[in-house]
Amino acid sequence: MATTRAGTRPYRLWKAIPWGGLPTAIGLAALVIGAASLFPLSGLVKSLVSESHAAQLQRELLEWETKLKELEAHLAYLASLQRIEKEAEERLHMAPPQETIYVRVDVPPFSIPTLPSRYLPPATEVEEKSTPWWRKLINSLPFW
Amino acid sequence: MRGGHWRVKLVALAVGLAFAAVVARLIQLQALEHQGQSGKGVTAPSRPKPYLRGSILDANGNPLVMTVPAFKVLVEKRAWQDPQRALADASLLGQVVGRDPLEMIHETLASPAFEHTVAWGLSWQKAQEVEALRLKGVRLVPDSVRFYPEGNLASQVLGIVGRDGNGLSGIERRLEDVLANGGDVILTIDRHLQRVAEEALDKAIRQHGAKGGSVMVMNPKTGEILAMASRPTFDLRSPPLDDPSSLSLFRNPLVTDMYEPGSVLKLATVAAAIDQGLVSPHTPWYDRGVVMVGGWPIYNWDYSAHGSRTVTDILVQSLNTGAVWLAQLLGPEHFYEYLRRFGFGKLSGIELDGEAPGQVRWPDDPHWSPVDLATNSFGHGLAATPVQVTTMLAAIANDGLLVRPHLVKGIVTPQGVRWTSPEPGERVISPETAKAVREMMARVQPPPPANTLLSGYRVGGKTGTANVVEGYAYKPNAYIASFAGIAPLEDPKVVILVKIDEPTTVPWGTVVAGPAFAEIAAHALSYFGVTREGKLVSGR
Repeated sequence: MATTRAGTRPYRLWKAIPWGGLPTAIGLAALVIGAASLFPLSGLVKSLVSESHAAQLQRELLEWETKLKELEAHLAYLASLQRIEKEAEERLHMAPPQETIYVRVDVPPFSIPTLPSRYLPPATEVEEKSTPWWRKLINSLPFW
Repeated sequence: MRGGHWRVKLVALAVGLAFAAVVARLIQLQALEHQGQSGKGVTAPSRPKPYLRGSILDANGNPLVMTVPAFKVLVEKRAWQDPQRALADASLLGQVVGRDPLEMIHETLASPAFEHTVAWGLSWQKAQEVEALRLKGVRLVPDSVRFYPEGNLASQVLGIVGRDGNGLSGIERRLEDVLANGGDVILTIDRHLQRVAEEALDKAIRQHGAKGGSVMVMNPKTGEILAMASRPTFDLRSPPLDDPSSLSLFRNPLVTDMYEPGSVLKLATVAAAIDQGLVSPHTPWYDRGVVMVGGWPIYNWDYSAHGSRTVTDILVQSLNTGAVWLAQLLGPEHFYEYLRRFGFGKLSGIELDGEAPGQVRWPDDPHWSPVDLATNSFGHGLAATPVQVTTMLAAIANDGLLVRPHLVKGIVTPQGVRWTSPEPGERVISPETAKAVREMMARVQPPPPANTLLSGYRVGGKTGTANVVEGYAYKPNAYIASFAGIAPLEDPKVVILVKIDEPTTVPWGTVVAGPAFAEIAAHALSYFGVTREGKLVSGR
């Protein structure tokens, strides 16, 4: 409590504030501030939710873009010459073409060399025994 | 007394006004402007959009390199200070990313940075698994990896990117601006021909125990490079960036390295002499086996005298003395003018960094002498890149018009596709001269049995054997064998240069490089639908 000089009535500060004094004024101000704070709260919450949703969507977009790029790379690998050759060899059991080169030589073919008879191996004389006449006769018979 | 009352009232009024101002501001911000303020101060989405570098495609749109989104895992150094916790977390993490836990802990603690990257190139699925672990101090960062569907095909053309995603060599570096901004590059390279060319090159190097080699296939009418490869090369998926001795592998020798083209250059000498009307393919000439120039003897490759010959024989039998005779008939002014027109001694303009212009001692050089004219006539004493030699060959195939060799067919951006506009070409020799030289080349064929691959096609070529220049001298017993050819001769579809470095079997271009030419030419002509009789049944 504020006091004045002796003999005078003590001065009350609240009396200087209109409409009920200082506590009332402070209380009113606090109420107003509180009300002002509460007023946009719903909007702020809504905004934060939207931001979270946008971040989630952006994350999903990033994921899809990443997967798309990964698929493009995989597609490029599948279409690569290396992979095609590997698949052809391993899965389809194909083999690289073998170049068969034919060289035509314009000279007469080799003739079989003839050696003098003295260098040839001795001829094996196979003496076929002649078939006897009676065997020929028997063989010629239709019922035999 | 009275004076004190009004002071108190004044203070009370000021406090009341301050409250009112605060309340008014609150209402303004939270009630009236909350729509506009929403979003400010709210945390950004959990992950920014990943950074995707553009693709490099072949001429038919097949990807040679593309970017796949990925993630990398970063660990805070302080999160793994406690050994027990570090081991527990690293064990869980190691199971997902496939790394040794102790190695990851050691790397992280030894890192001078606040965070250390312990894993790269994780797929979306793997990244989800890491996130599900909810490890403290471990976070995922969007990343990307370059993926090569065709493996190491055209490695030196494509080039590499560093871990920061910037192009370091090849097209990756040259077109960094396009690729870094998500644009795609369409090359003139055809993956089928590139593969055939690389296989033929590898085979030739293997069969002849060579140190390396190069091959180039070009469309002579447009200058489009259909295939381009050199050996040795590197693995695109794990380039040896940490090995300084391997850095030379990243350059493209077809563009950056010069060599003495050797007898292949006789094509230019013969073409110039015919174009000037000095000789015809049938003009007779007598070869004595040696010619003296400035007191120096110049011999044929076989140190033999061949007697009565024609200009065609000079090309077919690759007679140095004949080339000297033709160059002397032309004189230095005309001879070097034709070298300039064929593109020697200047940049070709191909879209690769580090291109060498070649070295030619022009007559206005104070050190030039008639010996230069003589040796230059058969491809010695000057240096050219394989691209320049192939471009010269293309001019002969293209009826005398020189086109700029190029690798980029188009660039795809969100604004659309920008195609490389065809250039008309510069006249070097007349169409009649070009045709006459092609007919002379028909008598130079790959050796049997490889020539049978080209049975039914009319192709022609020119061989070359040159010394290897090391420093300022020739390397002893080291040669470069080459074969430059046109297929088919009537309506050329491709020109091919095969160059084999330091073969250990024989040095002759016909034997060493000729079979590779035959294989590539046979595949290319079949691929372009040219029938064995030389008729085009279905164009591409």
